[in-house]
Amino acid sequence: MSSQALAARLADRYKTEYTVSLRPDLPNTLAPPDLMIARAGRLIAFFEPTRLEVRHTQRLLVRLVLSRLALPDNVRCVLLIDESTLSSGVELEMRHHFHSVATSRAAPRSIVNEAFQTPVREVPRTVRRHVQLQAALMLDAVRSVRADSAKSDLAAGKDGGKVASSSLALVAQQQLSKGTATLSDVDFGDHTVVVKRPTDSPRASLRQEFQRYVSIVPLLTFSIDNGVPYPARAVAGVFRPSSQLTPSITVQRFARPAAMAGWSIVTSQDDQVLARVAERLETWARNHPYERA
Amino acid sequence: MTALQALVAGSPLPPIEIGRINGEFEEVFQAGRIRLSQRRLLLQVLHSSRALDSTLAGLIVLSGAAAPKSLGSALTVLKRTGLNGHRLAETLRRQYQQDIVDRRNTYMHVAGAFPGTTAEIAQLLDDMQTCCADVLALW
Repeated sequence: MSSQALAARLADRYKTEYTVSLRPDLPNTLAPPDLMIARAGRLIAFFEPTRLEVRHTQRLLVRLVLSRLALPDNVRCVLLIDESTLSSGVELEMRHHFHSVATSRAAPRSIVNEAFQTPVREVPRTVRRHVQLQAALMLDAVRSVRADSAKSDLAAGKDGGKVASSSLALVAQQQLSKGTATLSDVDFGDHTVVVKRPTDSPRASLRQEFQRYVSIVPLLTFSIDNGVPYPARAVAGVFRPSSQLTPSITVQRFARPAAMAGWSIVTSQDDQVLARVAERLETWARNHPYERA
Repeated sequence: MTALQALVAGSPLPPIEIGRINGEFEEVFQAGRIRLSQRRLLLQVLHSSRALDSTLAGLIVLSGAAAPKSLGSALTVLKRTGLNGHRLAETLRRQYQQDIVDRRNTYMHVAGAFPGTTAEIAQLLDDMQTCCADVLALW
């Protein structure tokens, strides 16, 4: 099964003709493509599904959507399928979301030519703007609540940050296929999903911990048609990692791409701080449906 | 760094400009090998700044507006007129002004000013790269 070997092989083949970035470290997404190549104003992003993505295709879909939001509209997205993945059915299920599909047998030049023959699929401006605004708010909410908390006790969150269960929980149960995300630890508000990782969780990096939940918000926020995210509902996520805190610089670097995926990262162990961030995002999401973005 | 180089190479900028900007990103990478940390960090800020300035100015000129005189004014143009109608949100402009322009100006223009920690400068470099990627995605 795939371990991005096909992407690595292609990177090697393209490097003399194109600017090549294997496992690109894009600063505004946690789920980048496996390979990007570009030349003369043309850009292709390649996605080679991981084992987990083959089993749970919604994860691949989320990676595609978050990458599309982090990349310009002229990008062509190619699904890379190796021999072992062919029989899984992932190609049939997912091919319409990508500009084109390439197997390990295809010649590198024909992969590029085929991708560029397909028309670009623009992400609607309302979606880009909404994501931009929401990401800015996510970062701002955490900063300002941190500043406020030093000054005063707060009125909200007497219940220790517990968010009431809502119809959003039902939508999540219906829309998220099993294995895509962990819902059991999530509290749902009307427009927010709040995850508080228990302090006694097994040691894991922030990325590993967050990985199990990240899909929830994008899959509720967007309705995805042919790989293009369209407005569905305004939903914001709040994620508090377990007590094994990662250094603050890691959290800072993580915060921006997480915000692009619709999540605020709150490291304070004070439940009231968490509740205040959630309340702020709930109010914003309620008052900012896509039409106003 | 190659991710940004790929983004720049895939942008509508003229090839000669793409070569110059990606050359600056290459310098950021090369500067990473300098042992003296203050010198390394300042050089990385310098080259990242030039790459960011040129990317933003190049895209703004390409969209038909006049070349901005500074990074701050480039961000203002992106907020007011944007690129082909895609505008930068005010909240983001303000964040970039505070996190990038103001901090960078301190290091670039104040004698004896050095970043306090490597982490501080790493954050600035990250913010610059994010801004660059965000603006390229506006096109």
